[in-house]
Amino acid sequence: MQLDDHEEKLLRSVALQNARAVLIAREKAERELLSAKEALNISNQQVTNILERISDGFVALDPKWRFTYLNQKGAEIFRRFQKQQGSLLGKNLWEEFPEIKGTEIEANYRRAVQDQVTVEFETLLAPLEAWYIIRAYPSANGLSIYFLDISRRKRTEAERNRTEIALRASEQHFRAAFNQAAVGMAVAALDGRFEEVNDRFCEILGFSREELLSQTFTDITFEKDRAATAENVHQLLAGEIKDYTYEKRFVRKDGSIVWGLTSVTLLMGEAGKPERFIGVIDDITLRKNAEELRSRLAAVVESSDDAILSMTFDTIVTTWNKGAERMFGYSAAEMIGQSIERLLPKGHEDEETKILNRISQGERIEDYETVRTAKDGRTLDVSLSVSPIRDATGTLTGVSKISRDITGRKRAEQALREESRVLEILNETGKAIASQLDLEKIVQIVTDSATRLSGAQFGAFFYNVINQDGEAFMLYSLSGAPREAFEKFGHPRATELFGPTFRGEGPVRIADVTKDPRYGKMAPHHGMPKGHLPVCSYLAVPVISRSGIVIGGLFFGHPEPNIFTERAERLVTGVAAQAAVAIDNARLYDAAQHEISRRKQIEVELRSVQDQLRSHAENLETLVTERTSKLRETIGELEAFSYSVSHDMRSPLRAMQGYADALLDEYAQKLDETGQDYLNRIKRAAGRMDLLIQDVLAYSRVAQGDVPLKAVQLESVIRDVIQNYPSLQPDRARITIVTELPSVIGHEAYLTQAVSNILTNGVKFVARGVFPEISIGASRENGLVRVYFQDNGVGIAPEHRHRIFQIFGRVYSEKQYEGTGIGLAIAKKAAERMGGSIGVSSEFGRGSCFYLLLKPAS
Amino acid sequence: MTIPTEPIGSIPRPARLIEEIAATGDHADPRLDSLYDEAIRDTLTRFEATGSPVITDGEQRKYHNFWTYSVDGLENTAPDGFKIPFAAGHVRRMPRLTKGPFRYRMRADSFLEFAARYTKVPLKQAVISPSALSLMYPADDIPGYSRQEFIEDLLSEHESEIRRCLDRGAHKVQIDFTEGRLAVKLDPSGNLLNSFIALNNLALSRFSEAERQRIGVHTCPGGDRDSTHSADVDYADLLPSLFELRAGNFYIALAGEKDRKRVLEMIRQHLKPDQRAFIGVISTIDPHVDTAEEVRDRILEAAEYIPLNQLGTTDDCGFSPFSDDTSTSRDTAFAKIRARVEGTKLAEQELNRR
Repeated sequence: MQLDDHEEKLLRSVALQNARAVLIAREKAERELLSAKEALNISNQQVTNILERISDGFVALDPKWRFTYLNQKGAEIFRRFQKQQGSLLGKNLWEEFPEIKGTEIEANYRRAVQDQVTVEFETLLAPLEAWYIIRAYPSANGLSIYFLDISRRKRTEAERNRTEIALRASEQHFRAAFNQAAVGMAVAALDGRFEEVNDRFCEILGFSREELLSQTFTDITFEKDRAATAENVHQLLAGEIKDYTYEKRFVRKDGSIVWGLTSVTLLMGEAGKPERFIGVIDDITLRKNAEELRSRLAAVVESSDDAILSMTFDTIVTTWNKGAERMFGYSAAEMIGQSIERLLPKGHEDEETKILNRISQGERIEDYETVRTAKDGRTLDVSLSVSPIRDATGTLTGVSKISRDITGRKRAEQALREESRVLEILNETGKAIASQLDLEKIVQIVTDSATRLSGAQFGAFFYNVINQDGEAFMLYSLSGAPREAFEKFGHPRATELFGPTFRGEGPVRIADVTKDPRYGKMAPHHGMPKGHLPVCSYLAVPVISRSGIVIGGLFFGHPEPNIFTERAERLVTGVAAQAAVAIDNARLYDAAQHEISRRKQIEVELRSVQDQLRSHAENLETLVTERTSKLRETIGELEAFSYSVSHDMRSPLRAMQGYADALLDEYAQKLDETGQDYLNRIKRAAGRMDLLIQDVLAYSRVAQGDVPLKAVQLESVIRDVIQNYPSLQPDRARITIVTELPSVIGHEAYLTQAVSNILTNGVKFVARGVFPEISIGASRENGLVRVYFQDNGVGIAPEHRHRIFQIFGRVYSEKQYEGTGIGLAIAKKAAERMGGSIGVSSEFGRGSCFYLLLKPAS
Repeated sequence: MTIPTEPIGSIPRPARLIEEIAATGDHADPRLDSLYDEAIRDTLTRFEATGSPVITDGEQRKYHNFWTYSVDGLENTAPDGFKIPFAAGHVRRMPRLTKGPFRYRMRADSFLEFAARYTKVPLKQAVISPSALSLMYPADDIPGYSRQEFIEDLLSEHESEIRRCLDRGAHKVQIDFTEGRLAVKLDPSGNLLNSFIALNNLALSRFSEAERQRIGVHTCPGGDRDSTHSADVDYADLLPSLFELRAGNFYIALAGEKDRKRVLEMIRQHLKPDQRAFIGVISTIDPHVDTAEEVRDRILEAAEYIPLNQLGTTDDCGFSPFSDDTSTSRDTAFAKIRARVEGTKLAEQELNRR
């Protein structure tokens, strides 16, 4: 759409009128701009005048780094850079002064422009030999640079720095000397208060510098040395002495005492007056302690129980303490200057020389055990520790020797070793006989151990044994002598010497048997037979079982007298006791082994009899299975036969009924009453026969054929039965389902058959005049469903209960209650075919409760 | 090298908002506030989803249109101002100033302030040019309020609006100068156009160089209901003067031009070194959704004429400069914006490969 002419004209008119107004506005704006520019020029001129007058340099660059303005000072700065003279205006900074490129000056200028920030820095303009503070101000017009000459300030600063550095160095040297001095140094005011202390001083006294600066030297002086200190200070201040040096004690921060070799002098002021004390302390605690230790050691050496002596390398004794006098019996006077070799026993003559050789080769000898001879001839077990003695230059000058009398210890060690040996033997013996059940081995172990324990040269164990036949005889074992040595002499007899042992009267220990009055009394040898091993020391110990029977005797001999001690007797007696127990055990073990063998034999025989029995049982089972199978076949055949018989019987029966009915219908008038009665009887009999056959058929059907089982809704089956049977209708019976009825595993037809038979029986067998009532319910019983039918019938006497589930097992005559007597048999069969059972509880005259036990469906 | 890409401004309002405005009969009815707010939030969300690095609030609250939003409802105006004709046959009428002094009733920074609450993406704000609003003063002088006074007030109000937008952090402030072509149409001699340029430059001269780099000028034939008021005006009559405007950025409708190369050649000739040309690569009056590849090809074409450091892309125009314009759906608008963003990236990749 186009605007109409009028509209367009009007619009144009307005626009053009506006244009005029805009023109006026623009002119006004331009005038204002001019005015502003003029004001700016004036202002610029004023600034320029100021800039020209100031003593600092000022330069302006445009965005292309061209000089647009340099004040007088600025021009001067750049002129001194540039060899050629001439105006820089309009010239490019970098082209005119290429030497600036790559310097911090360029970097700072460019940063100012790039980041639009003012950059200030100090720099030395080397060609000018002048320092400047340069401030670069960025603006839209480029960069303004301001140069402030700080050379004078820099020179002053440098001068001051140099002086300060020198002073600082001097002071540092002094400080270093003061602080790093190996001795403690301190400066204290005249009142004793510390003003300066060095590190070593702090270290010696254990205080920090700050802690010391708040104390006086009197504070840290050991109390007993304070008086001497005060006296020295007094003399110093009085001018009586220029300095003093003495050993004094200080108290460290931890309370311990430190010895210091202390030198103190005065620091004089310009007027020659004392201003401060300067003290130097050298820690001599170690030396002092060493001195003290030395005197203590001397006392220790003298009072020691050990023999402490020194001697030269040619074995001449130089010192000999009291301990040595006591140990060896020689006095110091007797030994000093004499050779130590007088103490050496036979066989040890060169021992001292060897020891001295080892020492001279730099060895130390510690706890060297040997023997020495005392003045009285006693041999002493000693332990020697030998150390070299050196003079101040480190040259070996002799040895010091400490001898310790270890005779007692050696004896104790010997006793201990013997005890250990005995314990070891006892332990081994105990373990060995405890783990053995072989009689021969036990007696050999016992004989060997006891021989070793007793110290005998040989030993024998004579013992009695009883064989399986109950015969007793004597055996023996030997230790320390070959069997041949005794074989020819026969067994010892119960002589006066041996008798007490074989009778179990106790140990016999004789120092010299040949001198014993019991010895040599028996003929024919009257003592030891010829060729017998020589026996002087004699020991015999009986071995008696726990039951008191003497098992045998342990006999020991030694050709020397006095060999067997009381301790040996005790030890052998202990071994004999252990041996008795072990022998008893071995005998019991033999008896047990015998019993076990006997029982094993019985078990074998028993197993054989069991095998025979099992074989018989298996045969019997097979026989029963076979016969059961045959019986089942027979029953099956019988049931099939009864079914076919029953079935086939119905055919002629129906013919009989049919012809009887035909006779009654068509020829009744031709028969007299008797004839008619007979005919009616035939008909009733045929009817009853049919009922019987039907029931038998029903029973046969239930009893044979495959029964596929599945979940059946019990309640549905029961309600169908109640609904379909005339005798169960409400006008004829009151049937109530009193609980929930679960589903069961069964067969619907079989279940229907069983339930209907139970219910129809229930309503039928009631006393005259009683209205039938049946309550139906279900409960769980041992994992099965128990469906019960409680009626108010006549009940069943206990003596009849076993019959009611049999075919034709009637309790009441047919005249009393109609029926074939097969119903409950069918119900029973049906229950069994469903894997269940049927039962009844009843009391005569008080109703019955029939029940079915069936498997639950879930 | 990246090619900046920015939208022009308007997005079609949601249909429900348009219906409710029509139902109430008053754009400024407070009962519409929640609908306006919802429309802005939805626009920002969907704008962000396009991936556009710079977005707008879709001018959802610019009552009526981009031209008169600042003066709509002024008591000292009458609705019988000039008619602005469009090619499709409909006319939009401007308000007429009836008495002084002239003041804006609403400034665009209020839109910016609201939108900034709901997005972290840089926001651009469009404002109307003083030359467009200058046509409110009637042909006959208003007694007691001279045209000169009006022009002064107009410039002050315009300056104030731009400053407030800049102060609120606008990524760019875009002056809508669609009346440039209309001026040529009304006065083929070019005097009227030059007058408009002079008026706008008076305003722009009040800003520093750095500020002017955040200010741009948008010109197009004037899109409304998929038609234009001055598409028949040749760019040759407009562009030489347009680049005289002292703005740092120019948003020039180009995709809808019949001979783009000719226009690009003109831009190349007249674009000044400190100016960037955002060329229109999406035709907002064409319902076809441009593919990214089409957009890419338009940029590659433009890159042959415009130095890459002075090239940007934009849409030819706002998608709905007038609030009741339903000729383009919101879905189409955002699909076209996405095409611009993706096409610009494709072009960048291509140009960087070269």
